[in-house]
Amino acid sequence: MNEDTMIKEGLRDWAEEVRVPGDLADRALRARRTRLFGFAGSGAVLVAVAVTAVVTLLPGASPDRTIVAERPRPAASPAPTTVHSDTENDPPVNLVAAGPWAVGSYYSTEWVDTGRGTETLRYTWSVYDQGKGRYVRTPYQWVDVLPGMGLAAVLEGDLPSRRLGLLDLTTMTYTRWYDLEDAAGSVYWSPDGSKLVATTYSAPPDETKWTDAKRTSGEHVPQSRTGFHVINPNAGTRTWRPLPPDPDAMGSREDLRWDDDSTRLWATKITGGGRWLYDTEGVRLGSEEDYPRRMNEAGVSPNGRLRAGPAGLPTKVTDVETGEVVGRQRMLQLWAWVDDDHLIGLGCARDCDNEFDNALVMVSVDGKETVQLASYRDSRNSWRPILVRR
Amino acid sequence: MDSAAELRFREFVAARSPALMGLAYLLTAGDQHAAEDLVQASLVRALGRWSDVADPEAYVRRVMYHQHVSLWRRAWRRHETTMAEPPEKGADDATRTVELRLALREALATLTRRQRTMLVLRYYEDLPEEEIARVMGCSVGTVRSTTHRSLAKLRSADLRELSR
Repeated sequence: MNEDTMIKEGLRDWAEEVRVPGDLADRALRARRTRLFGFAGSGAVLVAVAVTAVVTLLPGASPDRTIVAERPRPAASPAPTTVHSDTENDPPVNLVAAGPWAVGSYYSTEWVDTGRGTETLRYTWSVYDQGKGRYVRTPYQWVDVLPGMGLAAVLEGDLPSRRLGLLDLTTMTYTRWYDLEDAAGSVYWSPDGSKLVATTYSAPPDETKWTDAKRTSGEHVPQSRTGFHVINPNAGTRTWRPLPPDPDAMGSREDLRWDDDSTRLWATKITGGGRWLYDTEGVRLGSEEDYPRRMNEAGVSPNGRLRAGPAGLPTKVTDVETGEVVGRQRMLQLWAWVDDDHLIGLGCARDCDNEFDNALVMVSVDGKETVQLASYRDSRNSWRPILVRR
Repeated sequence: MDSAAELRFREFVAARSPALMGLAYLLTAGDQHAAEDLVQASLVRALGRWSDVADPEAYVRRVMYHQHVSLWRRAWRRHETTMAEPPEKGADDATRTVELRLALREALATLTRRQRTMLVLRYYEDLPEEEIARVMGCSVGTVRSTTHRSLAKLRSADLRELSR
């Protein structure tokens, strides 16, 4: 062996013995932020000074993360009881929250041409950046914020997307990326935050063939759901299971979401209403015709005594046992219980002459106390809030 | 830095960490912690100009050379290297190979930071002498003479004996 070869091989052997840390990118990004701003994680400090309006509420149990909470679970730690509003910015810039709930993200959509005679939705998502203490626009086509607002699951690129990322909402850096062989049109966290379900599609899940310029009627577009991924980031496991479309479904989007137990999955059932239930292998477990927790319905109060009624106007709250109406509210919808005496919902502007001109409002059960949380906007084409447990 | 740029950065680091760490490990004469520090410091530097960089790997490597050399210039002594003692000399070939490697490492560790950097650039990075001179901020003649002295120092160790 000549000297050059010996040195080269010796160096190569030696270099291969190095341990390669998995978090070098994170370290560098953190260090750069520290260098630029003089601190690394400032979320709590900034959030504390971003309060624009504070109303102290009675502490209540924290319901689950879904907008509607039928069976609240005991909170592990005292739930936040403050109210934060931003009625000056449209869409909001500062935190919007009431009690245990916050607007963790919001989105708007526009129809875009697919180039084959159909249109699909393009999303613009904003999330609450804990580091900056304000909502920031993101480049993702799908966002689902983890309860606690520390992490979000995101889909990058056009839907369906093959890139699923986990985004740290304090540093706004990715903690993980998943390359999906089967492209996903949505992703949702389980209520306990341990798992993700990403429904996969063979074509844009919102694809529609409109037959009029106002987009009020459309033709059938082939359904494209193919299955779903279940990802457990902590365990490092990932499975994909096939799940063909429901023949009765109207549109092409047929997302799966987690049930309250974080074990079963469900999808909206069109015929007869309600929902289909599945296990994580994709086996249909049955259906619930009268699903008690429809989207954007608050359900039963944390103490289990009151039930929020369906969409109004006005809305009402009834006694669970007697059925007696205990309060009416000048609201369009009641979305979630803030505590046993207050709810978050949609309130309308002026005399409710236009139901689409509405805002997020906190209202007391008796309807006498209202706090506008965010600006009024046309709910048909403006931003739409997603509530998450904070 | 926007999300797309950050994503590119993360992908780059994920893909090239082993190579960058390997280089840093040699430059720091086998000091794991110093190598991690060097890679991190170089990545932070690269982040500052990330959007302008066409060839990230070449850029980061260059930053690493400079970082390492500038640290040397400042007589930075925080990470002095300690080497394990070579094992007792044995008789069979496998033992001989191990001995040779350890001897090379020990010899490299005895070089000055500047000498070692030049050897790494020359033998591991395969850089031409002109490029090494540019990186090190010296003349090509200095590169040659330093390399020559470094090799002589290696030869004075047990390498010659062991490599026969």
